[in-house]
Amino acid sequence: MDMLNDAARFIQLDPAGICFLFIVGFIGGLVSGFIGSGGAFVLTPGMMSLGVPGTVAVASNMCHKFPKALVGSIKRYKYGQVDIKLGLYLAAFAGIGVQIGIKIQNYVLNLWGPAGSDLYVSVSFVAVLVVVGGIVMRDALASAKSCGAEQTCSLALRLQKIELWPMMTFKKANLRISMWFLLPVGLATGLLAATIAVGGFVGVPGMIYILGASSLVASATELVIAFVMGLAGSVNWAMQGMVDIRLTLIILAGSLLGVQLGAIGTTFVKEHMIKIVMGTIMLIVALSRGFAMPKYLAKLGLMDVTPDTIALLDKVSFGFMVVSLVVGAVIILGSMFRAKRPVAAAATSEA
Amino acid sequence: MQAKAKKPVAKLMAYGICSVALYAAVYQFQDLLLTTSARGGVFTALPIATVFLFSWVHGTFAGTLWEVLGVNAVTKAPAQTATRAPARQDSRPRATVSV
Repeated sequence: MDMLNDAARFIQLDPAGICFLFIVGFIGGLVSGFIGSGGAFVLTPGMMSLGVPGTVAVASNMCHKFPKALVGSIKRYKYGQVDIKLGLYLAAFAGIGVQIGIKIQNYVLNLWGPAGSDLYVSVSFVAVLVVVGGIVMRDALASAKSCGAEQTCSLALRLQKIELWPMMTFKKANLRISMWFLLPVGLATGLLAATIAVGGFVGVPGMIYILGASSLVASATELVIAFVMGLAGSVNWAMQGMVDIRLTLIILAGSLLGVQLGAIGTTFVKEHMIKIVMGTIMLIVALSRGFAMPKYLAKLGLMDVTPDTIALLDKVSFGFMVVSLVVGAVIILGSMFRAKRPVAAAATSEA
Repeated sequence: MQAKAKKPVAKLMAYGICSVALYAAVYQFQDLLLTTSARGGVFTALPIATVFLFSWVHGTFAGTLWEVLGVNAVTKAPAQTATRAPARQDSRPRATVSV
């Protein structure tokens, strides 16, 4: 291996960079532990802003995601929230989805070049997040108003009644459904993971609204999918020597604290809080990616934008990504604090 | 929640020391770790095994830290969905066929 290449690939770390990665790792872990995904998307651009090359940033980020998902899923398994069988099936289908996603990406890249590919990613980001995020948010607000127990979506109930071989039973998720409805959810999760690197933004709502799992089980089971897919992706990147283990371990230091706090949080908040956090993050991230689109439109010659404006929009876009995570973390910690107070008061009065 | 439950401070200390030692070792041998993992191929096992080790040691430390700080899970009942069909009204035994 060329030492010059190694030197360019692995940057020198300063205390400020280490603190930044630790804090973002913690907040990302907190969000992932709570909603099952979506905590790591700030890290890749964050690492790149420290001077880490894109491929190393993607590889190092992925290498921290799977142990985080492992620890989070073990924690949530102890709380009885994880359906391992459902997670493994969806992960297997998601693996196929990733391959389809890569093929589509390569096709778009050959057709329109790098700028076209970036635009495709951004359009996918905005379209999926606005539609799915909007559905999740609307449902979360309706659940918050009703204050009742979480109801299974009517679409999921209708699909569960269709006896299409092979039928599959998932005991922990308490549902029985045909494999043919499981397949598109898994494929879409993998497709989105290959396109925007956050498959959980489709996987968790898919499990809730198509399969009929509760938000607690869906968000916890997503961690199993993230572990399997993350491990496979990390082995792939590591074989190419792209993982900067120092970056991975610094992020992991924060995220293992965060993911367990997020997992604990799910046990004392109402289930609709998971949907509220997920919907909020998805809609803010969609806005963030919307700000990134003029750059790609300009590169394709479809829009006239000055370099200064593009630089400003890039910063605004990254700012909104960070804001989405911080807002998610504040909602989680706030709802945990509110839920903890009556429990603590009850414990004190009992003593 | 048990207000007077014994907190696992010794476990926290043990895993905390191990975690700090592992991070110190990575800091000390970072060049060796980086150049070895950069080779790829059979050396793929190095970064993967390293993160598994850290997720066990640091993960246990992190979990124990929240426990010691009093941040514990309050509900351990499994979440269930309302997907079950309504309970059967007819109390008579179901017809069965023996083959």
